[in-house]
Amino acid sequence: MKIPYEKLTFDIVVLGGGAAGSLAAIRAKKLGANVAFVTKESALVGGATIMAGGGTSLTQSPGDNGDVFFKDIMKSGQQINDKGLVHMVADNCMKAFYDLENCDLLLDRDNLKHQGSASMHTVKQGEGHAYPRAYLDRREALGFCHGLAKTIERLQIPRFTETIAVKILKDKDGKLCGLICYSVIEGKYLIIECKALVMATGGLGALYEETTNSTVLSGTGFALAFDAGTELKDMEMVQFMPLCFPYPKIRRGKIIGMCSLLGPSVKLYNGLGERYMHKYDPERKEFTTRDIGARGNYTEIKEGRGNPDGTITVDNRGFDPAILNRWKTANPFRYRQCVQTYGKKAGNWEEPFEAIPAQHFFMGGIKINTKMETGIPGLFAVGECTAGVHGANRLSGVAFAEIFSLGPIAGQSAFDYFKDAEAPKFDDKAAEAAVKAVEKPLERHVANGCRPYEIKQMIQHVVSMNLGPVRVGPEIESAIKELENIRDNIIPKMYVSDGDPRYSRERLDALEVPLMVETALMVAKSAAMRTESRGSHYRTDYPDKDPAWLRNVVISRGKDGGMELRTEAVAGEVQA
Amino acid sequence: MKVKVNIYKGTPDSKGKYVTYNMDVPPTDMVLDILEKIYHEYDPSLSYRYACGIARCGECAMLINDVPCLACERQIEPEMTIRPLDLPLIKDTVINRRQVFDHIKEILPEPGDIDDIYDSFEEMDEDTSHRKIENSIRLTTCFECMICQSMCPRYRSDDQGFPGPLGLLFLTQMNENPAQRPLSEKDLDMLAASCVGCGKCARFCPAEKKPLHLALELLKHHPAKAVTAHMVDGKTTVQEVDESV
Ligand SMILES: Cc1cc2nc3c(=O)[nH]c(=O)nc-3n(C[C@H](O)[C@H](O)[C@H](O)COP(=O)(O)OP(=O)(O)OC[C@H]3O[C@@H](n4cnc5c(N)ncnc54)[C@H](O)[C@@H]3O)c2cc1C
Ligand code: SF4
Ligand code: SF4
Ligand code: FES
Repeated sequence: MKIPYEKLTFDIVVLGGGAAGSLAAIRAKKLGANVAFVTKESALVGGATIMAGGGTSLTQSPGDNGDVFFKDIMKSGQQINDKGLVHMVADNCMKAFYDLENCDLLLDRDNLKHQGSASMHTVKQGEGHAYPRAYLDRREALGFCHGLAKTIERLQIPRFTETIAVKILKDKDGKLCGLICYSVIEGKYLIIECKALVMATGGLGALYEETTNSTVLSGTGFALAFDAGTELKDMEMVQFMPLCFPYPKIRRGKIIGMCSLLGPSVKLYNGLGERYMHKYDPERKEFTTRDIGARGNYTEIKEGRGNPDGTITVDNRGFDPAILNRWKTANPFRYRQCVQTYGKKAGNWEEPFEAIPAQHFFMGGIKINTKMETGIPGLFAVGECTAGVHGANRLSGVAFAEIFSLGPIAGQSAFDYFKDAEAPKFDDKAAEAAVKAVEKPLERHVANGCRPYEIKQMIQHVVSMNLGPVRVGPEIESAIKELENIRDNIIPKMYVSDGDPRYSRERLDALEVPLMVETALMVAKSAAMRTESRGSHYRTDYPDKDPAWLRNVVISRGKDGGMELRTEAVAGEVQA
Repeated sequence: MKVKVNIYKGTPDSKGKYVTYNMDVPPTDMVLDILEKIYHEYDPSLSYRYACGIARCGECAMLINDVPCLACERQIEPEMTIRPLDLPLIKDTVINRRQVFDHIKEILPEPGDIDDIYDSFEEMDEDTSHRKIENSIRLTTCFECMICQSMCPRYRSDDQGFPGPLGLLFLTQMNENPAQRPLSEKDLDMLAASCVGCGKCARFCPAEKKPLHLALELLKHHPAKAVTAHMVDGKTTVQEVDESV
C-alpha cells in the first residue's frame, strides 16, 4: 500500500466539530481525560453550527417553563419524539445556555448586570412556540463558535482537522476500541485507539442537490454508526426550508429563510402569477410552518407551475422599512448575498425575487438514551446525528437548545465510562487490515470507470428527485433500486485518478461515496416503511396521519450485515 | 460568458506554475464554481478548500487578481489569476491553516476558572458595561479566513514572537470580555515590538462588522504608551483604511 498510516492513542475521541462535539470535548477534557478532536473541515468550529442563524429557543419569558416547552416540542414532533430526551432539553436549556459564558464567550445582551431575559436580545413569538423564546445574536452563530473554538485551543485539546473518519473499530467483546480516519491535509491514514468515542457528526444535507448545509455534511456518520452496529431511528424525517437561493450554482439551496422573517407583507407567486399558499394552509397561508411552506413551494415547482427556471417568486414590495432594517442587522450575510444575487432593488425588496425550497435539517439518526449511549459500550452520540429530540419536525431554535443542553452530557457520559472501563483489546493487525480494505478501492484502475464526484452527484440526484418534501411509494421504491444499483454496480467501477494524496479532493470524495449511499438507503427504506404522512414526511399516496403510526421506524444491522427495519413504540417515559 | 483562468498549481517542495483554462460559464458564477468546474472537467488533482458556500467558514479565502477574497462570494471576471494566500502552502490554492492556528495557540493562556464571572460584572458602571458588550460583539464576528494574516508585512510564520493580526485580534477579544484576562505586560511588549499599526491587515477583511478595524483602534488608544507610540508610527491610519473599503 502506498498511502502511509500512523497509530495514535487517546482516552476519548470526539468526532465532529460542531457545537455538540465541541461541548462534549470541553467537558471530557475538563474532567481530566486525554481527549482528541476530529473534524472534517478546517474551521475551528464548523458543521451546520457555524452556518446557523444562531436563534436559540429558551424558556426565558415570564410564565414559560420546561413543561410548556416540552409540550411544544412534542406537538411539533407529532408525538414521536423521545420524551426523556425532550425533557432534558426543555428543562435544562436555560442553565446550559448560561453555562456557555464559561467558554470564552460573552452572550449578546444589553447589560452585563442582569442575567436573563431582561438583557437578552429576544424576539416575539416564533411559529409553534407558546411563549417568546428566541434568543438572537447579532453575530448569528459566530459568537458561539468563537467561544467554543478558543476554549478548545486554550485547553490544548489536539485537533485533527480536515480528517474524515472512515471506520469505527470494536474489539472481540464488541466494545468500542478505536477508529480509522484519513487525514486529507497529510494524505495519510490515522489509526486511533481509544476507550470511548463521541459521535457528533451532524446532519446529511449534502445527500441532496439543494441544501442549506455545508458540503462536509454528507451524512457519512450515520453509515459509520450503522456499520459499527448501532440502531438508527426516524431516518425518513428530513426537514426542508421554504425559501433558498436558486443560483449561482455554489449558492443553490443556501438559506434565505421563512416568510415570517420577511414580515407580514410577503406574498408567494407561482409561474402563472397566482398566489398558492392557501391551497396548502388556508388559514396561515405564507406564514405556515416550515414543512408545509416547503411542501407548497416544492409542489408548485414539481407540478410545472413554477417559473421557467424552476423557482417560485417572492414579492415583498409592501414591506415595512423597520422589518427590512431588522433583516439587515440580524442577517447581514443573507442580506449581502441577496443583493449580490438579485441586484440592489430586489435585494432591498423593491422588486420580487426568485427562490426554491431546500433540505435544511435532519430529525432522524443514531438511537440514543438519556445518557447519550448508543448501546455499544464506549460509543456515544449527540447533536443532529442523533434521533429523538425533534420527532417528525423540528421547532425553530431547538437545534441549538438541544446541542447546548446535551453536548456536555455526552462528554460527561464518555468520561464516566472511560474512567472505569478496562482497556479494550485493540487488535493492531485487524486495524491494519481495515485500513487496507478502505484503501483498496482507491488504488483500483478501471477502464471506463466512474470518477467519485460523478457517483456523488448520482446519489444526490436520486435522493433529491425521490426523497424530497413530497414523496410517493413508487418513487421511494425506485430510489431504493437506484441506490442499490449505485452501490452494487457503479461504486465497484469507481476509480481515483489523482495520484498525489496531498489534499486530494478526489480521495475525499471516494471515501465519502460508499458511506453516503448507505445513509441514503436508510432514508429511502425508512420512508418506504412509514405508510402515512406525519410532520416532514409527506406521502401523496398516504396523505393523512394514521394514529396506528404513533411509532418510530428503527433500523438495525442484521446478521448478514444488511438493514433490518422494524417499528417500535415511542420511547421514553415522562420523567416525574 | 467566456473566461480565461490562470490558476496556481504547486506544493512547497516543487516549483509552482500557472495553468490556463479557457471556458464558457454562466455569468452568475462565483469563483468557487469555476474551481469546481476545473476539478470536475479538467484537473482531478486540483486542490481547493471550501465548506459552507455562504461566507461563514472562512475556508475558501484566496487571491484573485491579487485581491484577497472569499471564492464563494467573489463574482467571476473575464480574466482571472487565482493563487493561494501568502501563507505556508499545502498545495495549489490550499494554505496551511493549522500551522497558523498552532502558532497563535502559543500565546493564548489556559482558561482560568471563571465561575464568579457575574460578580465582576456587578461592579461595572453602565457605560463600561455597554461598551464592553458592543466591542465584544464586534470583535467576535471574525470567521478566521486568514486574509488579514496573509496581508501583514510584519507576520512571519517562522517567527514565534508575533502571532500576526489574527493573534492580535484574539488577544483583544479576551481583553474586551470582562470575564477574560486583560492584555498582559508580555502581550503589550510583544505588540509594541511587532505591529506598526499600518492597517494593511484590516483592508480586505470580509467580515461585515470589520472586527480588526476595532481591534487596531482599541490598541491605538491603549493606555500602554509603548504600544500607542509604536502604532501611530504606522504609515496608514486605520481611519484611512476604513474609508478606502
Ligand atoms: C443555514 C442553517 C441555519 C440554521 N439556523 C439555526 C438556528 O437559527 N437555530 C437552531 O437552533 N438551529 C439552526 N440550524 C440547525 C443547527 O445549526 C444544527 O442542527 C446544529 O448546528 C448541529 O450541530 P452539531 O454539532 O450536531 O453538528 P454540526 O455542527 O453539523 O457538526 C458536524 C461535524 O461533524 C463533522 N463530521 C461529519 N462527518 C464526519 C466524518 N465522517 N468524519 C469526521 N468528521 C465528520 C463535520 O465536519 C462537522 O464538524 C441551522 C442550520 C443551518 C444549516
Ligand atoms: S479579522 Fe477579518 S480578515 Fe482577519 S481572519 Fe477575521 S474575518 Fe478574516
Ligand atoms: S496593523 Fe500592520 S503590522 Fe499591525 S497587524 Fe495589521 S498589517 Fe500587521
Ligand atoms: S466556503 Fe465558507 S467562506 Fe467560502
